[in-house]
Amino acid sequence: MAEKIGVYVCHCGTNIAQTVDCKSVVDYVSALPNVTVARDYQYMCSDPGQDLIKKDIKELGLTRVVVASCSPLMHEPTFRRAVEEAGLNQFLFQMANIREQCSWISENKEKATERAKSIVAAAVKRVEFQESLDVKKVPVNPNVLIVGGGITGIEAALQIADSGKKVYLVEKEPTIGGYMARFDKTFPTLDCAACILTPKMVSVGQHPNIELLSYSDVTGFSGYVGNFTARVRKRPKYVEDEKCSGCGLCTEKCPVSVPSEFECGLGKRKAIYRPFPQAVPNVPVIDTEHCLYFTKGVCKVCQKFCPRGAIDFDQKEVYIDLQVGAAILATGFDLFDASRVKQYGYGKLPNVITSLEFERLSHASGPTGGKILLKNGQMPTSLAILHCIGSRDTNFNEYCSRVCCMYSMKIAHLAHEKTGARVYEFYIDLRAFGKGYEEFYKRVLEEETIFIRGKAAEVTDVPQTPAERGKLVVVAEDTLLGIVRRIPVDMVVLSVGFEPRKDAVEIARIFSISRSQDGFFLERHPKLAPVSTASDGIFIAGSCQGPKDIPDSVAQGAAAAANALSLIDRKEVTLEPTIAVIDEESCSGCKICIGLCAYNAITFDEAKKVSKVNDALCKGCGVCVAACPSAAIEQRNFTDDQLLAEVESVCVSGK
Amino acid sequence: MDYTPREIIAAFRAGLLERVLRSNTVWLCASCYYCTVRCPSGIKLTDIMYELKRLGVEFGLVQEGAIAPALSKTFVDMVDRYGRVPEIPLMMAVLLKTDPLRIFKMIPHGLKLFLRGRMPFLPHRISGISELEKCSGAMTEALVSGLHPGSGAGEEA
Amino acid sequence: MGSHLEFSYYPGCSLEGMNKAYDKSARAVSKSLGIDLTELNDWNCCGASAYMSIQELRAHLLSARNLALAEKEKKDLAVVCPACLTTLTKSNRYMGEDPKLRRTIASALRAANLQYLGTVKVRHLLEVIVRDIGEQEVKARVSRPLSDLKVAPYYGCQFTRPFGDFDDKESPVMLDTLLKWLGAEPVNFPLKAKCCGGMLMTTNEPIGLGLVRSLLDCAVQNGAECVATICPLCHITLEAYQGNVNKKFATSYKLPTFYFTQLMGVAFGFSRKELGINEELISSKRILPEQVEAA
Repeated sequence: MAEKIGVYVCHCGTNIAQTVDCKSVVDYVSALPNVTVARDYQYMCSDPGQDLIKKDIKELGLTRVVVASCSPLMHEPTFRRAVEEAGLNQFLFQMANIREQCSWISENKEKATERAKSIVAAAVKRVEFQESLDVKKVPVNPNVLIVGGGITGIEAALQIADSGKKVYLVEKEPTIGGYMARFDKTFPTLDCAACILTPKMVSVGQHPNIELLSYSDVTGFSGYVGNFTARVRKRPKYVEDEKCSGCGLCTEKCPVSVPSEFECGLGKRKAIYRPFPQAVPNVPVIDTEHCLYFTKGVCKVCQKFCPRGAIDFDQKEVYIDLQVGAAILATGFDLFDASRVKQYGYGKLPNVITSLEFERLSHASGPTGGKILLKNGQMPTSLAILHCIGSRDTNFNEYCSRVCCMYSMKIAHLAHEKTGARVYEFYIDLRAFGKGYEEFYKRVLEEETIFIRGKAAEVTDVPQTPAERGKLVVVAEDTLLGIVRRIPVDMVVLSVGFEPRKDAVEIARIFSISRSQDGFFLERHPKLAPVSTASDGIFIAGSCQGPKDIPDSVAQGAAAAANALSLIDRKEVTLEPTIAVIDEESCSGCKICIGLCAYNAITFDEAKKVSKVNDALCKGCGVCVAACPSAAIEQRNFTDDQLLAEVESVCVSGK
Repeated sequence: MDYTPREIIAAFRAGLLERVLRSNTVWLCASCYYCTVRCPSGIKLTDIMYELKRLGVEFGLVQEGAIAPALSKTFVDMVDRYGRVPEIPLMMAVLLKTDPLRIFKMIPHGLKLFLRGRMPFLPHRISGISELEKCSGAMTEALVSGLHPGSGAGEEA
Repeated sequence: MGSHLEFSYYPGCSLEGMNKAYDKSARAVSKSLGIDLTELNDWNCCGASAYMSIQELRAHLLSARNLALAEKEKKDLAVVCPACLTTLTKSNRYMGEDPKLRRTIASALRAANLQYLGTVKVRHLLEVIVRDIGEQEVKARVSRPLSDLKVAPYYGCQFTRPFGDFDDKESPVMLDTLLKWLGAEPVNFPLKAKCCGGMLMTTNEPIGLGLVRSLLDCAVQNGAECVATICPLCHITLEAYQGNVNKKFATSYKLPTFYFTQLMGVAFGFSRKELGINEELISSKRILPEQVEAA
């Protein structure tokens, strides 16, 4: 029986109508075979517009619908919904784009109208070959995986856990807290970082809905939205979590001292250690590279003294599989390696330090007990803070790291407070964009910080005058004055930028997400979808998506949590049926498609010796369809018949 | 330097390059390339300085009393004539033009060098000098006829 | 034994005059190391900074003729002057990147039946020795190690800047490494890659003297007994004006200044005369081993 096709040509106000003669298109279309009705209307996506379609379906018994309007990315869902509501399967609908692909790229009315006719006619021919398809609904696992226990991951975890859902929080380090745990004060409020962070850390540690997997990492991730499986490796701490009381006796007694990573190498830790006193979980781990038992087979003092018998040298790494419905990546950042910019002498000249090292010096429980000291143990009488180290630089990272201007001002404030030194800041611009930030800048100005507008050209210890002897000289052009200045100081602080973590490549690979050109994880849309990714069910938040300060990190953590909860509370997800299907009879078992699938959606059935598509994982990208040498793969709603009909229509009609 | 790199660029943007050309900045540049190597925006500032030098010479806008333009022009004359640059004749020619008294100051140096056999007097003219001339001529022709639009101003025959 | 590398040797104008010793010593040690340096026949001046300051395209043409001549010999160019290195490399690179420039120069070269297809590489002798010849071969020829002679390794500007990706542009180490192979002790020299001023000594003497003074001061403060250079202009600037510096700043510098190839030659057993050390303006007799005299 012949189909009954309804065609609707949208004016889209003047967007289409200004360039395309819609009435003419309607006349042309009406004369095409199997077209029962053809109409034009101002705004097809509006309610009255949609009602037109629904009315015709019911009254005229339409079996196919074509709407000629904008891009499917805009309103395909709208019209598909309308069609379903009228009782017709949504896949018996086709959109013809006569706006983005016609009216918006033409200035010639005649040519545009002819082109529109051609586009619509092709859609009409295609839709005849379309078939009903059913969407598949799958249940959503309500658990959520959060990777990374810094402030962002902590925020996301608490939000989700408070809503009653279960969270698996996987953290690579022995403790959660991230970089924030290493800061002294935070801008602009000058809150003590630990004071505002540790209560949240404790909440995470104690929350009944959060299972904290510390000293662990995710080694594998598979599945599809709502139904993921995460493989987590729990590295051996050699201390049993349940038995340890956090008394700290083992760390006291351990005879081995090594540089502490937490202290940026400025202080020491033991071979059995907690990164910092308020660690959550408050369970130490053994560093097997330096532990005397693991390297030489002796000592075991920690085990001797442990009152709870919690030390277990035989612990092994354990792999566990977690079933979750969504994942949030909050893996954070790394700091730029200042030794790459040789002209500042980091690593060569003593008393040239990074911003993070300054934080550790300033921190009350840091290596100097909160005193800002030079290598010779004295306090600096003058200090220079150099902005934009490794950022905004074609030689290193082109992007701006966003937080450095503000943290530089914070460092200036701390330097004033703790040392009374003369403080200089060498900057290109001052980015004080947030709430209270500009006001903080004024405060730091009033503290008599000397701001010199000019990026430091170099730091040298070669004096040109007696006043420069024994000092570090910062050479910079004062661009407001137009002269080159040499400022002798005791200490130089390099405001280093953020970089993606070194393992970001690996994490992206495991979770099959993309990274942007700068290496940070790629969001779905930079403006409208900053915490989702192109992979449904996987969200990103915090500095792993791009450099940002704590307020923005927390906001993104909460946003990702909301996204995840929205997904979970839907209870089920709809899977698009427009996926690839393999005809077993035609499949020759060559496996070419398996290697090409970016979503690992195709598996090989050894028994039948044919490939099979997992319809939940398949995204309908079409690569395997095109590649199959046996033409055994078809894509639903993009079949050869449908596509060839379109092509034929365009070519044969000659328009 | 009278004008720093940022000021030079600001002057260019404002159409006020003349003040830069008349300052000491342009001919102080020794082409050490630190600026080019360090510039975070990847600007080849040294090449810009060369362009400013060429503009200054073309339009006669150089710092008053500057020796460097004369040195460069004399250098060019010698290369065009001999194909190589004999150092002493170069020095002599430049100093004669700009600061003849200095020649006397340099005599002790000259004597020392002469005594150690380091004073070349005769300029070596390469046999390919006419070849070079032909090439230059061909290039100028091409530029003038618009066949090959070259880069940079101030291309004289 | 060892390597056999062939280069078209491009001495540059300054080696014909005041810096003949550089040429002498470079040829001598290259021969020892098996580096064949056949002088490029009828090479023309590269133009250095001076020509580019007056004419841009003709400056590139000067380089292009040299590159075309070298290409005919099917050999890479070995230079000992960083200005020649930078000028020739700049033209080489820019022609490679800019089709318009390439065409313009090509049409000019055609007038003399020359062509350049972009296959020649321009290399500084120091880089060739350190990277291509290497430690073993150099050390094998050291018959008279420089027994902890404290040398300030002076690179100057244009060895690594802007095109020298073979070494660090802020703090190069190639010469330091070579000096160690010779048994000498390269001192810490923070200003090792700072500009000596070059032509500024002639065009703006006060500034030139100030720059040289900083360099000498830094070398001496760090315990240097002499300076090793890799550029003829740096050499003249550092050596010939120490008296002027002393007069202006009431200092008393008398720092012997060597071409790096001279120090190599001493270590390899050549005599002062063979290396042109006898042409020096500041005597180095005090710091070089006695045997050098006798040879």
